[in-house]
Amino acid sequence: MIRPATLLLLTMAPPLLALSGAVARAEPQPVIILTDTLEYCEQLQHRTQQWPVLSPDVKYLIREGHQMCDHGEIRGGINRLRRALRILNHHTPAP
Amino acid sequence: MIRSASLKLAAVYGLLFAASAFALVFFLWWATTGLLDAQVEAAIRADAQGLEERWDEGGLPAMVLTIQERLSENVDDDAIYSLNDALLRRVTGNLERWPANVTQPGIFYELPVTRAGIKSLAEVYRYDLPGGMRLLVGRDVKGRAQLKRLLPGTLLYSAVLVAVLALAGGLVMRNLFRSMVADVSSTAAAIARGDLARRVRRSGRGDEFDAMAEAINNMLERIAKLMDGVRQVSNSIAHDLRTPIARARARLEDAASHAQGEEELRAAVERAVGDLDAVTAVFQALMRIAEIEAGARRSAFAEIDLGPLLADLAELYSAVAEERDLTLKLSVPDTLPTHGDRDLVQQAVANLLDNAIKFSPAGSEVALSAGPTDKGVRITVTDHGPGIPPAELARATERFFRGEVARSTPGSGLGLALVQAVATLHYGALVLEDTAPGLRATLTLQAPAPRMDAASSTPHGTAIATVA
Repeated sequence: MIRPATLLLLTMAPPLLALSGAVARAEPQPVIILTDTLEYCEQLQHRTQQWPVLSPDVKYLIREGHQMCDHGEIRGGINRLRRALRILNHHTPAP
Repeated sequence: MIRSASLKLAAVYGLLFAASAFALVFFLWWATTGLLDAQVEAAIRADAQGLEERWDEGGLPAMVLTIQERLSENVDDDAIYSLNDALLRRVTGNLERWPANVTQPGIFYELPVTRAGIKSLAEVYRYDLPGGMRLLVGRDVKGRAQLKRLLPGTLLYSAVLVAVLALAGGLVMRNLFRSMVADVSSTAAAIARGDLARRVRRSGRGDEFDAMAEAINNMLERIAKLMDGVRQVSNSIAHDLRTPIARARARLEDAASHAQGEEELRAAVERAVGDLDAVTAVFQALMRIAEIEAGARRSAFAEIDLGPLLADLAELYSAVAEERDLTLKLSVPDTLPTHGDRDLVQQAVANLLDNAIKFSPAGSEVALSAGPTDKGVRITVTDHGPGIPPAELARATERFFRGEVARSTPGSGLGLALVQAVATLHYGALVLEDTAPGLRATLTLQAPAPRMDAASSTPHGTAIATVA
């Protein structure tokens, strides 16, 4: 018969091993993602300028994205510009 | 204190509760992260397949353009691409450098990343392209990362909560166990002090503790009944044997003092011997009943034919019946095979016939009949005597029991007790029915075949008394 203390250890072992195993497989130094920078925001703004005709919604998203990037809200600005580009790529005739 | 069973029970309960709670938390975490991982890996594979198709269609320029388009439309901000040449120089993508731990294609890697200064965790997959080009496709696993961040805190809070609940539950279990054991213990102590009427209290909830209390109480009832029986038999022995012994003593004393000659003295001694023989016969009957009840004689069971046996008995007792102006009617098949002890069955039927003849009024009929039943045989002796009053039927098979009617006739009160013991030995029953007037005694024998007897247990027979 398994003793209660052994049972407790057996129960606790999987989560501890799972956590330790996950850490062991990971890269020691994080790798920086480059698509959250002001430069990338400017790249996206540049891409939006390739379309001559823009709908009011897209214009609004681009303007808002531009303003947010200028005010340091980089990820929010990039998000607006990506939404604008998604609309342009899928619902607007190619430039 | 450490040897306290109730404390150990509480500790075991607490540990099991804690183990169950942690197992549940871990299972939820494992199932959730497993689902998230599966979703991420499916998305990565689908993404990579699309990119490989673009490579096949347009080579490197098409691949670069597609990666940039996908990054520009990644509203969820969770995609990771890195296209590098054979020297691991970045061609396009959103990773600052090729991660050092991603060395083999075809394996999912966990990759710590920094997105806008915030650390996160990603899952990436490496594909090798023609010309030594290497492609890395991945997704952030924010959900799992958040779960991992939450897990230590959750486990800590859970541990505190579990500890409190386990402690409370353990205390409840301990008190419950203590109250149950205390009651059983105090009952046992009271019985040891001589309070045989004491019983374990029942809560009335009908749970396992109640079942145990009932079993203990049943056991105590059985012991009390057995002790009553022993006491009653002891009293009966003292009472029934005192008279013949005292009589024998008085005769011998009288003869010693007043005998006129050798003949008179010899006659007194012979009468005293007769009295003492009666005492010896009672003891022999008691020992025979005890021997039968012990069940040892089952090993001597054999196939017997009751037809001739009962016919012989009827012939033997018909002479006695005639002397008392009675008719003994026999209704028994020529052959009636069964399994059992021939001598004991003969003795039991003889006892029943003896009683019937002894109590029947002159001119009446005593009937002996027998026949097969589903599981054995049935032997019935019917008379037209005074019978046994309903109030005495249940006690009629007790040792030394003599009813109001039987007190005036000679006998030891052991005849029906022996018949009952024989019935029990043969897995059967003795049923007494008051037929007003008269008594019908039905003895059933249902000893199984020898092969079954060896494998079976030793069930007890029953004595049933009913009023017709």
